[in-house]
Amino acid sequence: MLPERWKQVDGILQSALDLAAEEREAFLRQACAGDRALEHEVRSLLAADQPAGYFMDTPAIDIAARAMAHGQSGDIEIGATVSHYRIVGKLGGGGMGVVYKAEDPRLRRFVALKFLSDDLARDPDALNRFRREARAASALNHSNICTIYDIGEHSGRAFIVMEFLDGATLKHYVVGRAGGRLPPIEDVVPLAIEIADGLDAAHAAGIIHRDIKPANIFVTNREHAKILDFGLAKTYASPNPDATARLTVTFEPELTGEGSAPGTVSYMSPEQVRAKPLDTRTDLFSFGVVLYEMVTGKLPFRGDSAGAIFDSILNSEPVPPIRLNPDLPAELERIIDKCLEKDRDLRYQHASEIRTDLKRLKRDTDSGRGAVGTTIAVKRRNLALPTVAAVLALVAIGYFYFRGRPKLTDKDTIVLADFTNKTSDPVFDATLRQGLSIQLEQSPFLSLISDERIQKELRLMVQPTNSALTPVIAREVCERTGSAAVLEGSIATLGSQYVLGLTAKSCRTGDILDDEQVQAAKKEDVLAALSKIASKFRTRIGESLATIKEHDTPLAEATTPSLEALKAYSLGWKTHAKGDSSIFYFKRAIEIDPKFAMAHAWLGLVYGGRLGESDLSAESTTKAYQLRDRASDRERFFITASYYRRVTGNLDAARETCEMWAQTYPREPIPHDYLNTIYTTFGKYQQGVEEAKKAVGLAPDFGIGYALLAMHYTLLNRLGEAETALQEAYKRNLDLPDFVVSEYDIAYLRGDQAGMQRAVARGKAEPITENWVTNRVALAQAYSGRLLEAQKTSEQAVDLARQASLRQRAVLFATEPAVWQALFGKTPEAARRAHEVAQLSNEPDVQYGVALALALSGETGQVQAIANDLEQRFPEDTSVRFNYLPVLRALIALNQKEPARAIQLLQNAAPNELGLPHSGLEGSYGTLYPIYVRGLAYLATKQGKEAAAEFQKILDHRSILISDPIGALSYLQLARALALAGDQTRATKSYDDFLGIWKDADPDIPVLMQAKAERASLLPQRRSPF
Amino acid sequence: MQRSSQHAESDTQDVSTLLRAWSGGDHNALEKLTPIVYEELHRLARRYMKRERPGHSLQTTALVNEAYTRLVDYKRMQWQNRAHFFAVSAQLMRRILVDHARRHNLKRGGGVQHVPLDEASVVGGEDMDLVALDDAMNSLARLDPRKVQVVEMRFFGGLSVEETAEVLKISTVTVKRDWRAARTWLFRELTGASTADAPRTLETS
Repeated sequence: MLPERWKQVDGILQSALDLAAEEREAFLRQACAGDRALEHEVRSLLAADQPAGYFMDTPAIDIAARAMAHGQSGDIEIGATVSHYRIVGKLGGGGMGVVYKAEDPRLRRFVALKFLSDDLARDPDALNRFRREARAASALNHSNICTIYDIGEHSGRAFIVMEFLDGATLKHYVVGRAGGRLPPIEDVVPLAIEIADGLDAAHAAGIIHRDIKPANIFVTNREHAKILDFGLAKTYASPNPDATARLTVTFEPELTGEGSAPGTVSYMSPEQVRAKPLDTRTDLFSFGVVLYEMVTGKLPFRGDSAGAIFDSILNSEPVPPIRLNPDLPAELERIIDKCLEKDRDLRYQHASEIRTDLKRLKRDTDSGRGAVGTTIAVKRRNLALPTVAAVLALVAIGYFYFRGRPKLTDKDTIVLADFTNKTSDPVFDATLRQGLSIQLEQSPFLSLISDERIQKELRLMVQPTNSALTPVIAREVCERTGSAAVLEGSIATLGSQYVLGLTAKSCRTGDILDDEQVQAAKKEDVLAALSKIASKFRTRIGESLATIKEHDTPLAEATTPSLEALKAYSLGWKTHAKGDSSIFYFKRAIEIDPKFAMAHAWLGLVYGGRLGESDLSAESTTKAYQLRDRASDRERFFITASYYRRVTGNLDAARETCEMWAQTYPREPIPHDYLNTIYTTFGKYQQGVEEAKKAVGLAPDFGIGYALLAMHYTLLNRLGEAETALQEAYKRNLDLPDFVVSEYDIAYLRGDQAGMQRAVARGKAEPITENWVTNRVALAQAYSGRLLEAQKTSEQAVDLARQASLRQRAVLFATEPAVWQALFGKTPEAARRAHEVAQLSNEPDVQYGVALALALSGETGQVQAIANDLEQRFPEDTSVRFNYLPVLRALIALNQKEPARAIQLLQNAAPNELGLPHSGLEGSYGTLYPIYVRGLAYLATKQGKEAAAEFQKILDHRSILISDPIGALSYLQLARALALAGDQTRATKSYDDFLGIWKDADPDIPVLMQAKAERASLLPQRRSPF
Repeated sequence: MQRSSQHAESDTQDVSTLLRAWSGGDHNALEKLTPIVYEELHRLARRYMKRERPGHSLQTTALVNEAYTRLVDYKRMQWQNRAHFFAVSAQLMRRILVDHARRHNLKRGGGVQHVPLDEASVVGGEDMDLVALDDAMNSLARLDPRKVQVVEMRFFGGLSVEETAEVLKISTVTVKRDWRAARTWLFRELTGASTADAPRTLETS
């Protein structure tokens, strides 16, 4: 291969590694564009990526030293005879020492000889224990345990003789698959049953394994599980109980050969970590870890060091496995959860219980799963998404099913079962349930149980989450959620006609509340028939005619007249909810029906969320807005609010829409989320708190409300309440990147270094969080004047954001250092960087940052041009009009030595000046800048008192500013203002405050040098006796 | 133990001087450096064999770190160019460790094909074939020298990601990416696994 070719391979490889395993296939095909050799090369490397996981983890010198240690212990030559076994090959270093393949000539079979490592062999206590354990283990005769045949000694070295196996360890079985795919659940469950069976047999014989991990479980070529090394792990302690306790945590990486900690420590039970006496239940915990890894490919308890892993085992809840593998049956998740109970009394008590549960799961999976494909069970968990905006985008999906209220009483909810499709046409499969729910959700009073909630209940019911919502299951969900009724739909053919049926049953009594039937002459009329049946149902069930009349757009008008388009749209929902890219489906829906408003709206949402394709997002959202008459009332609110928030940025209009939306649909949480974020920009944080509380009240199972609540409490400097909000979310097992950032901010505001570090460590778990927290760290460094360090950290944040595919955010992060440099007086550097960044994005937030950096560096012409361009492109945008433009124009006026005009220009910004402009939402620049610049203007007009008031205002609102460097600079500016006002004492103190914060600042920062000089010149005045 | 650490103490200055000489092209310096590295290697090996106490994983890591620190205690050395020093010591470690492995033929005797029983045995474990790794690194160097440098720094030099980034003047993210790609490439070379299913049998061939 030539280096050029390798570059190509490497490029594609790197991109593919960044993708989720299931996205790689399509990517590879596209990236290799038919170049088979290229594709083969990349695939072969990709296949090696996971197995290479621990490769070279141990430093070379360590490996060399171990080899040396081992070399001196003497290898046994091939062909040699040990006892009566003839050595035919070396199999490698296993868990206990060297392993050879040998032939047993008497029985004519192959065996494996495992030699005990020397240090153990030399310790008589250990040796005795080893013999005892081996003897006990050899009594185990079970098809899922690797049988021990014999123990012996050769030249003073103890060995055991065991069953020779064909296959690979579970580690290879799990991670060593082509394309990094996980083994299918159907394969995992039988293996897990066998492992549980093996454990059960051993435990019944009183033998604890103590070191259950994938490397100790073998999968034979016939896909049977065999547990290795039973009874051989680690009990080489003296009989003294104290010593036993201590030694149970003593790990023997030399024995397992993995060198570094993570491989082994990760499977330890909490009681092992705590060095408590062990019983059989320790194996059940470790088995849970193994199971978790088998179905997710990830370890539940992770960390950079053994200590961090221990901490995680003792204190953290693992990421719910279903989040990592959406195909996971809920029951399997429940089984894993129960294995991973930290308190062993709450865990499974016996391996046999696990085996029973697994068998039941297997039976259910084998039988009832034919219907899987037809269910619309949208898996909508708290998919970890980055920004508030993106989270809102996603959460909107969740909420759409979640609302309403029926006639029965106004607290009632109903459960929508799957449609029974008795036609042979699959186009009806997911489509009709989706259509019916869109239709029914137009009612402000009906409330359907959300799919999110349904999933939760299914899990509690020990049903796979992807199980079809059959009438029986739906009824149970109905009972469990305290709902009033189940709606069962059906479609069948009658001659050339279609018959739709809809039955509402009370789940408490089984009484039929309503039973409707309509017919459709042809396929094209089915949607109209569905609308009709829904209206009839609403009437019957007792909704007032007035509201039905007001909110009952026929489905064909509310969505699309095309069944195919509706089907594509339904599939788009499903894939989006799973966290996969749904663009294809929404585009397909639009292709079939270009006037499908909601499909445009969702496309806009998807583009604008994680993908950060703001232009495409604006385009689609605008299109949806233009077509908004072709949507139901409820969806029209959504489209209109999205349009104001995402396209025009007119938050006053957005607020009006959201208020109306909330009023019309009182059980809808989304408008409250939106209102909260609108109040963020207005700086009305108390109102933000109220809205967030409403959102939480309406949708307690969604993380976003808690994130917003915590954020607004933090902004109000009510840190305890912010923490409580996060605790509430954690109690519900919710987690979002926003939580980690909030935790960081809270710790930062308290000066709690340990808390900050904890948040940073926690952020590392998810790339989507790590970039955000890293940027927070960069800001904090900039705040204390460590500019070079901050720039470096900021680069990392940019890289991480790019890796997480957060393009827009990466550019925003890249802009920050230019602003810092400009604020600190490093003007040539600032201007240079600003010019670079300006090329990267046309986004208003980025352009504002560029203009800020240039304006603070004394530039005028180009700043003017950017300001004019922003004004022209975003004439209605609240942040642009009331924040960016006044600040930029005031800075221009300052540069032109017209400070009085600057003060006047800033009046426009006054109403929202305590709010976070759009550029500041993720903690970047812009927040409180109107106040800062006004302060600068008063300094220029020599109005010391007025200037001091402005800077003091900034210092009084640290919880809003968090770590923006103007916070530190405000001490300096306050000092200048006070000096100007003649208050030397306080000025001196403020200079000292600033110099204290900047005590470790880069010494070459111009602002720092000026500050020092100014401070020095104050000294003699203070000391002057006259 | 006492003796050994005193010994290392007095060596530190020598190592610094020798390294500088070696990087300046003085081949004799290598001959003097080798026994010093060997001494550390033996010290480590002795500890593994004797097992002064049952090895705790954390202790082992500490042990290795200690060995590196003794050999290349950059903090106490007055090198104008820290990065250069890192680079030179990583090269040195590679050279000496691979030579050692080659000389003792720790891996290549017998002609037995190694097939894994435990994942640790193919790679990462004590059986890892440093000579084969060195060969593979040379092959990779023809395609992508920087990735090989990253491996040299991290695996042989024991440098952290951050230090490697500093030496090579690239971002830590790039180091991590290079490391992952190189590790994958080398692993594939060493295991001969063109598909990941390769190590699925225990049959010796």
